[in-house]
Amino acid sequence: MQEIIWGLFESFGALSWKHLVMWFLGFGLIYLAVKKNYEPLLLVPIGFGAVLANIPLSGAIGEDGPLTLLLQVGVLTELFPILIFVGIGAMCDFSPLLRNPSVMLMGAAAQVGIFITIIVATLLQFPIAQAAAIGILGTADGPTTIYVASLYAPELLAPLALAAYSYMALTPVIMPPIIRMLTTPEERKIRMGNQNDQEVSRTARLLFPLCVVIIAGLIAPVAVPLVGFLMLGNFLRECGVTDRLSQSAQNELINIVTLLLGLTIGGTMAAEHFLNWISLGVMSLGLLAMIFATAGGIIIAKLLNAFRSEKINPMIGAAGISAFPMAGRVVAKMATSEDKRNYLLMHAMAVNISGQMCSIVAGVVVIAIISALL
Amino acid sequence: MSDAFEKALMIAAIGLPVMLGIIGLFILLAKALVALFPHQTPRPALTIVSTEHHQKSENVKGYTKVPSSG
Repeated sequence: MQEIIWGLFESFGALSWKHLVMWFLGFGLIYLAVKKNYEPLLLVPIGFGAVLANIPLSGAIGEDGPLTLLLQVGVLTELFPILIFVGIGAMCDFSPLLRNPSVMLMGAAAQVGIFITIIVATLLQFPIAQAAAIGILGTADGPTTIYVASLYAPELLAPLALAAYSYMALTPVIMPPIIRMLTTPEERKIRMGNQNDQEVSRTARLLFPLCVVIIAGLIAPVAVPLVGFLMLGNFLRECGVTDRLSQSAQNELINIVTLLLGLTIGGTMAAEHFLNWISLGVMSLGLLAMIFATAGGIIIAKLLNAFRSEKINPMIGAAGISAFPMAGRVVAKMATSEDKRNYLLMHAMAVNISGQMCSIVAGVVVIAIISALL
Repeated sequence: MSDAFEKALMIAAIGLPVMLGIIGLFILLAKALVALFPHQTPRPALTIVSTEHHQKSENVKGYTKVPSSG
């Protein structure tokens, strides 16, 4: 009798301070999502998953737990991030990028944070595979981070995913001080003319994703899933005959996979694996990567201004990080706070979309080089 | 210098120019596609034109659809 009653309360006995810390973290993520509206679609499932995984003796994790099953089937096979790319591709309109392709330079510059962070991570004694996965945090692109992590550092999946999504959510907090530090008030007030809103032909919009797949695929065949599925989604959107598939990719598919991915990532945040100095190091390096990425975009925008008669507002360079569409919105909001009539949203969004594209190219390049090195 | 650090430098030394090269290719691709396939405002195939004055002379009821002159 006593044993049965004791068995009912077994989990209380197994409760430790580490579990309480993880509950606090999980509830913190849920609070940020619900109260502050920071990336709620991701942070709610991640936070909830973290709580589920940190109830002592939880049946959600462990050998036969549903979260473990999802991890094995959806994340370690790279399936979930790739399916999310179909949805992202279907949501991306590359017309602004085709209209003004030079914005891709700012997207490219924002990826410099990846390479700096990889170097810094190796200085902190991370092995090269883990350093590469950490460096990808500089893309500020959750699915790319998870994709690379599941390839080269599955043991760091939880802190990497948490860093990627929480820093994306905290874009409105992280970016403005960096922008203010690197630009003068006069630069922030630069007005940009109306974006050339000439339509891009349907043929160009159709051929672009196909050509990108072929070029990127030939350069880095190992990363074909990454680019291929993104461009598949975009082709579904643009071809005009698969509206139902495009709508499904943009809504049902991405919503379901985001829910499962978030829960799974939360499920990997079990206290015994998560609460250590390595996770803290990963989170710190992630922040560093994001700072370098934001700075890279701004600096190249200022550099471009040296060669242009029609100046661009260097703040839009900061939108070159991939946190789409949050980064673009933050820049546009900052512009109107400096000058109420300075509307930069369209320009910032064009750079932001190019950042999405460039982050995937950067991921492709890092995967290709690491595959050759290992 | 550790082996990992050397590899990290190699990734940066190779990766940055390769990434910029690919993006440069995409910029050229975008420019080429837009130049080769410019957007053409579709001409309305049919325009509804009031033919009231014809109705009187030709006793045609309603409206006649005529091809647009562009």
